[in-house]
Amino acid sequence: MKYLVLLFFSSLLLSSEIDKIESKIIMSMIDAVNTHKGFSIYTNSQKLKNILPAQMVVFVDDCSGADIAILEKSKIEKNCMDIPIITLEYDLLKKYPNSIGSFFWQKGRPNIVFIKSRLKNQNILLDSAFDEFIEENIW
Amino acid sequence: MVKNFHYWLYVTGIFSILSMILYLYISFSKKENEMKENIIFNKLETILIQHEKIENWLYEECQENQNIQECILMNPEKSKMLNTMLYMTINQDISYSFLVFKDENNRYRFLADGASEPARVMQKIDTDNKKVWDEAYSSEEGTLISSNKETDGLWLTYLSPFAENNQAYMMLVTDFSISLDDKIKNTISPIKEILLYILGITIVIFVIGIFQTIMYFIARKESYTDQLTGLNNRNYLRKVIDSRFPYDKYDIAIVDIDFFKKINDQYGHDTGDIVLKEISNIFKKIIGKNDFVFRYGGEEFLFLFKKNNAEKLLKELMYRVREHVININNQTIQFTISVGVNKNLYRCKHFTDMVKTADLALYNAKRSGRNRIVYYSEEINEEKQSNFQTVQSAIDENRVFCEYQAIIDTSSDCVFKYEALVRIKDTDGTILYPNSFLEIIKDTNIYTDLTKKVIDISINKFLDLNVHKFSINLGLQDFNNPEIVNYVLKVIEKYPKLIDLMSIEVLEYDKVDDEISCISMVKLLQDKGLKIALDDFGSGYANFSTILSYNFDFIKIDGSIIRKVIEDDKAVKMVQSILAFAQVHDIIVICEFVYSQEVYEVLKSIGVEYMQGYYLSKPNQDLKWNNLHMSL
Repeated sequence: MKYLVLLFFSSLLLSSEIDKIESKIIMSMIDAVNTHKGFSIYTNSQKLKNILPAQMVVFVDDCSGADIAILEKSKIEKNCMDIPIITLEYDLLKKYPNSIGSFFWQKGRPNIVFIKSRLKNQNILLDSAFDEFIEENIW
Repeated sequence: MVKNFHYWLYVTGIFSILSMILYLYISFSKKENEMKENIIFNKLETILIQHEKIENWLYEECQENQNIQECILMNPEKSKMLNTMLYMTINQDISYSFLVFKDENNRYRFLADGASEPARVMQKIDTDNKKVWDEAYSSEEGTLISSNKETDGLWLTYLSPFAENNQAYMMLVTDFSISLDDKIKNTISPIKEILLYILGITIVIFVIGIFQTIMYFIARKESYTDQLTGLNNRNYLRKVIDSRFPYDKYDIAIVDIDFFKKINDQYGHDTGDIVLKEISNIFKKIIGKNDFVFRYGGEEFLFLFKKNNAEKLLKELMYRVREHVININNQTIQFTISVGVNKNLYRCKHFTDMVKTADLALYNAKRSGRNRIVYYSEEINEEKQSNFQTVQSAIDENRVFCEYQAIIDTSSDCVFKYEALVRIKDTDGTILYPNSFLEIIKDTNIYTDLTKKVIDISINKFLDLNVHKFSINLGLQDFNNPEIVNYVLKVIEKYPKLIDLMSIEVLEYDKVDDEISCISMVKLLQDKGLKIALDDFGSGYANFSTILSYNFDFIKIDGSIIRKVIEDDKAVKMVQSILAFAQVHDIIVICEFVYSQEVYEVLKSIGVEYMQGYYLSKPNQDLKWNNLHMSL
């Protein structure tokens, strides 16, 4: 019983810690591509809606009114083909040609990737702090 | 001492328990770590075997290629085989097993992955600790990283580099967890937890104990220290003078600051406090390591000097105090001390006797003019003790009585009032007169008790008669004794008739220490309606300057003048002058020592109305007097 209780609380703590990391990374990625105030975001990830700080982002219900989309794996969102996309899985980089980067968990480690050519296409200039995450290719 | 011992025993005991628990906890922790290291070592052995297998396989498969990375990257079949080999290592404990290499930009990229859905070859992987990975990549041996600690296990990463010609070309990364075995989980960890709890509780008890001990010592120090002077107080004296104190090795001295009341009244109590502090500092500096000093009373200090120290140190003390100057508000204050010493403590049975003897010597020092040291001797004591005893027992056994001598109004030949004169009937029936005991008991409680007794006896005598007036005698110093003044105020409040019946005759046999206070007390009683007379005018301190300071209602011319009126015309003229002066100031003059008809006639001829003396009336208990009118 004692171990069950401990396990429950430690997993709660662990998941809350992971959410915090995820939220911080996504926010720093959004900030990196954000060029003006009133930046609106569309996402199909319910989790992201919950963990991103509501006071710092404006969520919209459709890509047509959004400045950027953050997408996880689901059917392709065709409305989102005109705005920059950050994917939540590496594979989605290939499916969305207008995706500029991705945040995903790889072997239990958070990973960030930005695609150089796509940033260029979208005229997005990242801070030099992100240099180590910029890739030439999608593998 | 016994109490201290308990505290130290408690602290030492708790400290020992604490040390023991700490030792056990460290021992169990060491054991637990050893067991964990064994488990990890076993796991690492599996990983290292896998590492060796891969290395051998690569050696066989890629021996023709100069670059092993290229060998894998260019050959999907080999890559797939490598994935399979890695996949085989995945089990309940090993979560991830993959091969990475560092590209020209120092980024780690996948070469192979044992996951069921392997990562893409060449795909970048961000590390959780790049610096450690880099160091591991270039080292010759594997590196173990403990990344997370779970409730009953550990998450670990083992980085195992592959090198050829001292040049690393890839690294096997194995993420695995270890479960602590039952021995740790069921035995060592619970014991450690229990020890930790006990340790925590013991530390709390220890800290509380230490805190309480400190508080105890602080409180004890405070309870033994006089707050104003920082000297030991009477509580500490009581502690020191227990039965084990070696009295035979000590001398006792009582030190009193001369005219301290005057300093207080003249400069204020704050200045008085400064004097006490400064003098205490002098005492602290002077006394030896084995000597004691206590603040015994207001301005009284008690010393216990180690044998043979007293004489030298007290002389030094007297000198230092005399030389010490206090500057307050541009005023310099200097003061002296009187000291009474007893160097023969072994003769005293109790500590109170020791203090009494030193006090007696101090009394003598004061009586001899202050600013001196007086050593106690048996001769001083015997006479004094006997007198003390005589008076005290007379009070206790109701052997104190009064005789009353009439003061006659010669114009009407009636009694003006009676003067109450104290007497003591000794145990053998002898009548003792004040001159034999009053001087000795002065400045003691016995004197105060005797004065109250005389007041009570006189009141009992005259109050019910409600006919005759009477006077009682007080010394001028008695007006500075609040107990006596309060007693007089109490009786006149209780018996308002006394205001008309009773008057007070003031004897000024000493210079008054605090004249301002004395004047105000005399005035207070006069304001209540009491009449005050100056006795023995013309002798000692009772002179014209005294009359200037006080508004006396009567003056009694001293017998030393009156007795000469028959033969010395100057005495007559002196009396006449006094009469003239008194008339101007509305003061009634009484001439005492009227011992013969001649004296009576002379005084009568110059206009003296009130007379007292053996010719007119001898002191007696029955209010008898010589009615001249009847006898002539």
